[in-house]
Amino acid sequence: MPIPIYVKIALWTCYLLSLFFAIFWFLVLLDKETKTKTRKLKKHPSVSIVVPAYNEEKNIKTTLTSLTKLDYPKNKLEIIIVNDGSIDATKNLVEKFIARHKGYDIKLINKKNEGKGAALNDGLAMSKGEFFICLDADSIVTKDALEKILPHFTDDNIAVVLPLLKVDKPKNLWQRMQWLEYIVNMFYKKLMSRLNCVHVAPGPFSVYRKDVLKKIGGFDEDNITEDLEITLRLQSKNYRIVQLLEAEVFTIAPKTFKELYKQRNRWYKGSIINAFRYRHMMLNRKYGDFGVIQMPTIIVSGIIAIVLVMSLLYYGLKPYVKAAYNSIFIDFDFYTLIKTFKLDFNLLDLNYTAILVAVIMLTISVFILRKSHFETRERAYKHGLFSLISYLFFYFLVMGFIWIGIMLDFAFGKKQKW
Amino acid sequence: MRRLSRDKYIIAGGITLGIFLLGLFLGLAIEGKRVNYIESVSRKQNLDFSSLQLQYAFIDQLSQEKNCHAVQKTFEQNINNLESTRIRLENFDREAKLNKNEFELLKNEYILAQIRYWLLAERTKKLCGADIVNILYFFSDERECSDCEKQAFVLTYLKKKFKDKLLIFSFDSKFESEPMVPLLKKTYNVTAYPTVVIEGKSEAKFQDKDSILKEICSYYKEKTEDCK
Repeated sequence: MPIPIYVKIALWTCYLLSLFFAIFWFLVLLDKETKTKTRKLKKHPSVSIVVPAYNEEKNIKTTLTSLTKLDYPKNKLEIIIVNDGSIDATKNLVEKFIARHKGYDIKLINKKNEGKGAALNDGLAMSKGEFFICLDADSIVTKDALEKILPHFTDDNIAVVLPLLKVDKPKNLWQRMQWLEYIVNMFYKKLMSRLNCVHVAPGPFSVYRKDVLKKIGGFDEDNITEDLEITLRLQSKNYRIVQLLEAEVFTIAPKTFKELYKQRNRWYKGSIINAFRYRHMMLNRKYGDFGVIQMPTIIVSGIIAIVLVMSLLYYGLKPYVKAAYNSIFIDFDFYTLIKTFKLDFNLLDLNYTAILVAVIMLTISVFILRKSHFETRERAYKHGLFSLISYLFFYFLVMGFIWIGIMLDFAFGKKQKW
Repeated sequence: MRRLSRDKYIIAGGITLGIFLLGLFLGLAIEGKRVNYIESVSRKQNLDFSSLQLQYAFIDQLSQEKNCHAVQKTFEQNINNLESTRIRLENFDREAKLNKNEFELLKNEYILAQIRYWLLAERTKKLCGADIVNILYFFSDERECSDCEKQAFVLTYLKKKFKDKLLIFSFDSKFESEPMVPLLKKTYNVTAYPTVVIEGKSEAKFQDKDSILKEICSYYKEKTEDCK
C-alpha cells in the first residue's frame, strides 16, 4: 500500500530528530568528565523532610520507617507529614507512628485538601532545616541516601540534587517494564545533568536548598505537575540541578495500565503545559543547552511518539485488517490459501533504508540499555527476558498511546484534575 | 551566560546528515539493481515466450498433439513467472524515486506480454483442446475503484484453487497510452472498474467468489471437485 508523501516526510523528520538527539547525548556520554568523587560529608546541616500525604494509609508507614532509618543525626533531622485532607486512616497511622518514635522530630500538619503544591508550601513554611526535601508517601529511602546527596551541594548555584530512583519490587509486567524505563531514564538524566539540562525534580527525595526555594516563592499550588514547574522555574533563573546515581530511593510504580495511563497522562500533560508557560526559554541560547535542546525535546518527544505510533498502527495493521475483511468474500477458506502458499522471496525486495534505520536504532538502544544498567549497578535480565523484550518492542507503543490520549484531551478541551 | 555545546550540535548534525545520505544512497543503489534485475528477467521471459510459440508452431505443423501436455506445462510455468514478476515490479515501482520512467516502461512491456500470452492461450485451446478458462480483469487504482482490491483478492483465490485450469490476465487502466489496452476495452465494452471478462462475457461490477465460480465451471468439460 502506498504511503502518502507527507506521511513519509513526517516519519523521516521524526527519525532524523530522534537520531540527532541520540547522537548528541552519545557525544555527551563520550566526553570525559572529571569523575565526581564520592564525597564525604564534613558536617551535618539541618534537614527538613516534608511528606505530603493524601490517602496513603497503605504506604505511609513504610515511608516513615525508612526515614527513621536514615544514617543521619536525629537532632539535625526534621520530618513533617502534611496530611492533605485524607479521608482514610492516614492521620491515625501517623499519630501512632509519632507516639512510637519519641526520639525523632516528627510533626503532623492536618489541613483541608488543596493539592500537593499547597501541602509542600505548608511544610516549607514550617520547616526549620537548611535543606528541604520532598518525599512522596509512596517512596522508600535507602539509609545512606542523605549522606550521599548532601556533599554534592558544592556550589551556591546548585539548587537541587536528585537521587537515583528505582521501581520498588516490581511484581507484574507493567511494573517490570517501568523498572527498566526508570533505569534508562535515570542514566539519561545523569547525562542531562552534565549539561545542566534536568527539567524535572520528581517527588521522591529531591533535595532543595531551602533559601533558594523560599527566594523563588515556593511551589506552584495550581499546577498538575508542580515538581516540573519548580524545576523549569529554577532553570529559568539559571540555577543548577544535579542528578546522582549513587544515592538510591525506591518508588512504587503503577501496577495496571489504567493507573499508568492516569499517571503519565498527568505527567506529560503537565510537561506540555509548563513548557508552554516557560516558552521564552525555548530555543533561547541565553539558557544554554537547556534552552536549545531540552526545552524543544519536551515537546518534540510527544510529537514523535504520536507520529510513529499512529503511522505504525495505521500502515502496519491496515493490510491485515483489509485481508481479514476481504476474506469474507472467499468464505474464509484459508485452507486453500495456506495449501498453495509459495514463498517468493528476492533479496531485492527488502527495504534496505528501513533496515539501516532499524539496525542503527536497535544498536543505540542496546548500548544505552547496557550502559544504564552498568551505571546503576543493575542487570537488564534481573526481572526476566520477557519484560526486557516487552520494554524494547512494546513499551513505546504504550507511551505513544498515552500521548495520543493527551492529544485528544487537548483537542477536546478536557480539564485535568489532580 | 550559560554553557552551549555548540561543537556537539554541529558534530551530531553532521553524523545525522551522514547517516541520512547513506540511507538515501543505499535506497538509490538498490533501485538501480532492481531495474537491472527486472530488465534481465524480462529479457529471459521474452525468450521463453518465443520458445513456447515455436513449440506450438511445431505441434501445429507436424500434428504432434501428443506433446501438448508437456508444452501446456511450460505455458503454465511461464504465466506464473510472469505474474510474480509483475507483482514485484508493481512494488518496486511504488518505492521508486529516480527510475519511475524505467519502471513504467517495464510495466508497459508486461502488459504486452500478458496480451501475447492470452492470445497464445486462445490459440492453443483450439490446437490442444485444453480444458482452460481465460479471464481478463480490468482494474484501476484504489482512489477510483474501491472494489478492485477485493475483486483482485477473490480472483487470486480462484487462481489458487483452479491452478493451471484458470488463466487470469489483469490490465491496469492507467496504461491508456498503450494502444492495445483501449482496443481490448472497446472490444469487451469496458467502461467501469472492476470489470471481469470470463471467456469473452464481461460483467462490470464486483463479483463474488460464487458467481465467478458458477460462470467458469459452466465452461469446463471436465467438472472438478471445486465445481460441485
